[in-house]
Amino acid sequence: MINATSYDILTTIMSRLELTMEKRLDFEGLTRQTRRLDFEDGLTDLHVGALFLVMSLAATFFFSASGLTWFTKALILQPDITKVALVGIFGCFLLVAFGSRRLIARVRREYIWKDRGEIVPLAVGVDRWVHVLAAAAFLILTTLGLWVLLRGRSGDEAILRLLVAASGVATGITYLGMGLTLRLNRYLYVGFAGGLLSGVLFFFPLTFSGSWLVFGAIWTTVLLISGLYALQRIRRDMAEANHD
Amino acid sequence: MTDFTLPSKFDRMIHQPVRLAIIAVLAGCESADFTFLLHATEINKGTLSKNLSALEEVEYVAITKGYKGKIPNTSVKLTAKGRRAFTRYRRQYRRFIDSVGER
Repeated sequence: MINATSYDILTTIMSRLELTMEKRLDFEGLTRQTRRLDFEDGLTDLHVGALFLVMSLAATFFFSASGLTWFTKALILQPDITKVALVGIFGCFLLVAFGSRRLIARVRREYIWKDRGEIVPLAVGVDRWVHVLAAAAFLILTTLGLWVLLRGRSGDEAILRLLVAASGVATGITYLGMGLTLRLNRYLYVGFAGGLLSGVLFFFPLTFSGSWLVFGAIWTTVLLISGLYALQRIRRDMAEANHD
Repeated sequence: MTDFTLPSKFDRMIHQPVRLAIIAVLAGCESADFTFLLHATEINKGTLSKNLSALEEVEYVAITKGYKGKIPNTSVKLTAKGRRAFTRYRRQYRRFIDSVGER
């Protein structure tokens, strides 16, 4: 007579045999492969790099002494026009951000994914734990940095610069996490280089606006190199496939 | 006593290679078209259609038929119910594989 426990063991052995005898499907790999498509061709890197550039240039301008003076003057002299202009600039930024997603989708449909069919990538392509880790790193770095800086009575610029550097390190951790979860080696290099350079930024005597400019330069350059490298590889693969 | 779900008690709608492949691909995107699913899963048209219908019946996927320009296009999306079922399946599967000492 077979009791419940023996039955369980027997079923387990049978199931194990069933799972090992037939070629086991790497379904995790299939999911990963599909998720990776949005990052594989480098277009997303170029898109994010361009957004970093625009954002950092805007921050550099608005946080610089001349930018702040200009903005204050404009707000006093022409408040309505300035507000409309600000909303307009922000609207343009959103338009570029979302418009270029559409452009990327079109380029993929017509050139890169031509015969392969197409997908709509996940709205958030990064795992939640990666975001949590990046946010935790940002908080720890800023808290620790603030504590050290306040004890040493450092200037305001150093404290503000710390925020920019911590943002860069958090961005680097995000890319490292993406590289690990999606198994994209390119993003390991992007995360390491971008995060490290952003961290080093803190040790240079830069103004707040200057540190935004350097932050933008670091991330735009790193993502531009990564994007162009990936795009080049895709183009080579496509040329080889056409040749075959 | 076992602390894992036996494969015989897995969700049979997912624990079948063809349907598992379809759902695994769909879990990695918002939606995919029929051509993409054909390439990604390496299943033939008939089998893919049959299994998509089965998954649609249990509301694991939503199928939208339309046109891209003048070309007919079928778009498939994993529903919230399907995503939950797949997450549960993955958890059960991993726990089972871990329990038998294999990865």
